[in-house]
Amino acid sequence: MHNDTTTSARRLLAQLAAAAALAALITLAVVWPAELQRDPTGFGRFSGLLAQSVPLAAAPLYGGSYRSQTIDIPLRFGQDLEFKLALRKGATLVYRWQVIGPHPAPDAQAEQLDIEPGAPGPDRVYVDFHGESLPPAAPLLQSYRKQDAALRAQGALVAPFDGVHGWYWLNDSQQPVLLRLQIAGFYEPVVIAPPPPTAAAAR
Amino acid sequence: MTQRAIRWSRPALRIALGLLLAAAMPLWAHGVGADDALVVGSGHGARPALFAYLGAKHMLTGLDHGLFLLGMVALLRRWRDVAGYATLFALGHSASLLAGVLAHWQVNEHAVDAIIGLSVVYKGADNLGAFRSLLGWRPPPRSAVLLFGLAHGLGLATKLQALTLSADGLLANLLAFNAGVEAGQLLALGLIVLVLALLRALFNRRRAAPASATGTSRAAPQPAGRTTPPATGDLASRWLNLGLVTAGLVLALGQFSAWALQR
Repeated sequence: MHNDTTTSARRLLAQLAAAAALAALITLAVVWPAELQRDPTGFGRFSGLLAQSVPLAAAPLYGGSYRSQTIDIPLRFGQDLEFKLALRKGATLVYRWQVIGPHPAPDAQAEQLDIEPGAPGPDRVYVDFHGESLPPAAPLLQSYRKQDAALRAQGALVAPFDGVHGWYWLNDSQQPVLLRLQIAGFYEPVVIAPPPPTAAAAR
Repeated sequence: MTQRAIRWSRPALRIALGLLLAAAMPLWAHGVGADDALVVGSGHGARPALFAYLGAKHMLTGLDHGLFLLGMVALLRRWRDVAGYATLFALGHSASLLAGVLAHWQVNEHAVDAIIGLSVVYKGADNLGAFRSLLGWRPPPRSAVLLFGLAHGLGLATKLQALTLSADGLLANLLAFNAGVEAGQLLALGLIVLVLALLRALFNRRRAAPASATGTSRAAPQPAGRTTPPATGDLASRWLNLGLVTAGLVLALGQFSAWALQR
């Protein structure tokens, strides 16, 4: 009887050790390449797990057309504007916008903004970079970035869902301003509503 | 009534199993973790339905919770015991979920998930009788389930706080999430108990066959502390629990290495 329990305990210990060894093997061979981009056993490369876990996500291919645009947008004092682009989920947009003009720019700001000193300089705007889904999809509204008294921003957006994505600008400064927006990516322009030309002429 | 053994007539078992699988399938088919964060982040105020759904989904799609539940009921033969353990587990994870979110506990996610993985290892080893036969001491199972319930709740709290929660309607959303977790746990438990009952029925029939060349009658050491003798499927039970030990270790090792390598 005693012998029996010792034997079964020994067998149990061996089985637990085998389970631990198997777990370690699975961790190194499968979990590491798939989750942590490490491949000590070479199984990740052999099976394609490693390839799937890195480059496909980092270098996606897109259908549709590549576009790039530069758009100047004047905003009167108190005026706001919504500029949106249609992006499919996962599509990338690279952008840069900055306030240029119309007031004489202090030298430091001119240097920061990469414009001639004394040229029409910046005033600041409120900006909300956001996206929303379109019917018939369930309503989603996601704000990516909001900033008061902004002068410029540059970056990229990987659209988190199908919909229209873009900027809401409000000129809450005391002066009219001119925005320059540069965009490139895989989008369809949807809403471009430049203010009436009197806005720029108002100064 | 409370002492009734878990027994299903075979047609009823098949029908119920099919229904449960059909009900649970859409939940598994949607692997939309990143989108959930987006949906939660895109609004504020009390949204009980959304949070209840997220809680249930987390419980049903999270392999770690499911494996622990499987280990917890693997050797239980009576509804009463299943209900008792499930209640203890629910008490544990509800307490730490509520406390963790309301007190803004920031716990390392990898550490919590590693402990949850180890809870699966514990349950598998406990079912194998490893603690008593190898260490000479078995942790009291009810306390252990309560304790690991606390760990699982801490994991839930970490996941929930990773979503950007607005303070507006937080308590209502939290309670809804918790209710969803319990609903998901009930659904998962129902499915697990059904599958186990189905497997037992299968092994029973095999054992009843005259020429026992199947090897199922090989005697395994009796898991310590069990009141009813092992009726059937000892070998299957051993493989199941060794599988739990292995899977739990993979979960824990993965989290430990992610923790160590990404620091």
